Amino acid sequence: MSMKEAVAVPSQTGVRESEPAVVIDRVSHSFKNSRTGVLKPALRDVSFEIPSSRFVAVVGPSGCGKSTLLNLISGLVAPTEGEVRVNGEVVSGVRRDIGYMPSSDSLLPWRTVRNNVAFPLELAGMDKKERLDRADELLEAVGLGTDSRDLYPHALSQGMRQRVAIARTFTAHSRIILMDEPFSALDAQTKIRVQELFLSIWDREKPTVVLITHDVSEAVALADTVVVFTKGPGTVDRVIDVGLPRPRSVEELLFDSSEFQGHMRDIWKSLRNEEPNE
Amino acid sequence: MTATVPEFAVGTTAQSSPPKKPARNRGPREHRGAGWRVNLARIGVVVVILLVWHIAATLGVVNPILLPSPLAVFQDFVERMIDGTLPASVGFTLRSAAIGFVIGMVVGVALGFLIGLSQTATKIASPFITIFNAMPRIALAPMFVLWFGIGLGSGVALVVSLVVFIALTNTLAGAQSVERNQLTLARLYGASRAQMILKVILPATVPWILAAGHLALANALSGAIVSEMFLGQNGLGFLIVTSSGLFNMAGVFAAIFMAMIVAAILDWLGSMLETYLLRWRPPQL
Repeated sequence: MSMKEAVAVPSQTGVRESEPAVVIDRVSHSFKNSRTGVLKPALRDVSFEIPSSRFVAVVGPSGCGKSTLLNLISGLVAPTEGEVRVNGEVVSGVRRDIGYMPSSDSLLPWRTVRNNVAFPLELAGMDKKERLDRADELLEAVGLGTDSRDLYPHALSQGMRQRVAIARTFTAHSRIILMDEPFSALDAQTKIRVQELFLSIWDREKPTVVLITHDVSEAVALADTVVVFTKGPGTVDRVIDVGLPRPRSVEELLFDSSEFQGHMRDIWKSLRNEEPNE
Repeated sequence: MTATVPEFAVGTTAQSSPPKKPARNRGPREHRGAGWRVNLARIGVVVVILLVWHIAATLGVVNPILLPSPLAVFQDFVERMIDGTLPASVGFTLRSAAIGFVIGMVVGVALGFLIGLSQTATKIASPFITIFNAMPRIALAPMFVLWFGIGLGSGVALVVSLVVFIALTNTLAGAQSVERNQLTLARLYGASRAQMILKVILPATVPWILAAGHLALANALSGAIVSEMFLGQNGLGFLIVTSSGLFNMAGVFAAIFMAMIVAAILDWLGSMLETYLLRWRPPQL
């Protein structure tokens, strides 16, 4: 395994930004057990770069440190060794310019749909009229009509809640979006619809995305590049470029694309070798 | 969560985190359907109780001096409403209950927040809160009479001692129960400490504070009445003690019924406020 995996392959548009959006530079991280004081390594010597506007999925066996990687990029956690750079700056704390989509929709139940979507802008101190306009714009994009915008989250179905969460993720015009298994709680059909919806907005705004997932089909269907991690303490096992053309239809890929299935099989095999011994 | 989750919050804990099951567009009134049958049954229960009571009292099953008939109680109630003793007593009792309630809630919620926002402070404070919460504070009534005199002061003090812990324990539990995901999300979107408290922790704690307020209402009324029973010179508690001393059981019951009516009205007002402030929550039974 080389020290530095270059994910940098010319993007679809052929534009190659001078500075990658995210650089993971020889990062290792260990957690200290608060009771025993024993250090438990989660990531070891991880290096890769993500060019701007690229959609990268990170897959790996559970416990390989995927979520830790996300926390390192967001600045919630500081690495034990190495450094993470976002837009050329070393990450030293939580950054406002990163969007985040957690595994649960995490909607605030006391806020209406609109106010949930506008929440990141409200935190940034944007004026009320302006932020609600932006929220409406995004709710339009995720297909939530004016009749559901003043509802409270409890009145929404799981799929609708997830759409609200997608709208919220894009409100702040973040150029980098971190996603932590955001679609894992959805049933199969809803999942495909919500994934396609996400892709359609992504195609329009083209932020850099780091998607953490254990679902290989999701990784291949959505991402430009799939980074496969070894079992914990995780490090980069393989980097696979998914050359599938965009815009994509997740449904068509799942059922009709032999290229898609080839990638799936390929990644599947790598992961099987990494499975913890039963 | 530590052991500070108060017993009385059990009913509310389950409610304050949104249920995972999507409650799809279920109207809030759906469960209250067939209401007239329920109401009819309720009236039936009251009628049966009154009948049994009346028969027991008039047939001499129990000594009428110890248990007056419902009619005698009603008569006494009406008389004292007309001569003004009941309204005046209620007014006095409500005054100490209300003052004590407000002071207790404000202090309890503020303390609950101050402690609850810090994990360390919560750890330090929780055994003390548990001990003071377990103490039968009603038993402090005679002492408060000595400390604060026989007027309004001792009543207010007892009510405060009851209410403050209800508010404190619930606010504390609420502040600790905020979902991690929601906190992380706000943090990642750059929320300042103040925004975190005002826009995430406080709204998440409101159901707990309201539940505390609801429970504290009944406790405030009881506290005020009990306090008046010790050397009191006014109020429902005083009325109960003096009537009882004169073997006027109808008077005792009339005063107790008055307290029940007031408690029911307060409870209803509290529920209305709760329903309005918590309209964002899924409808419940």
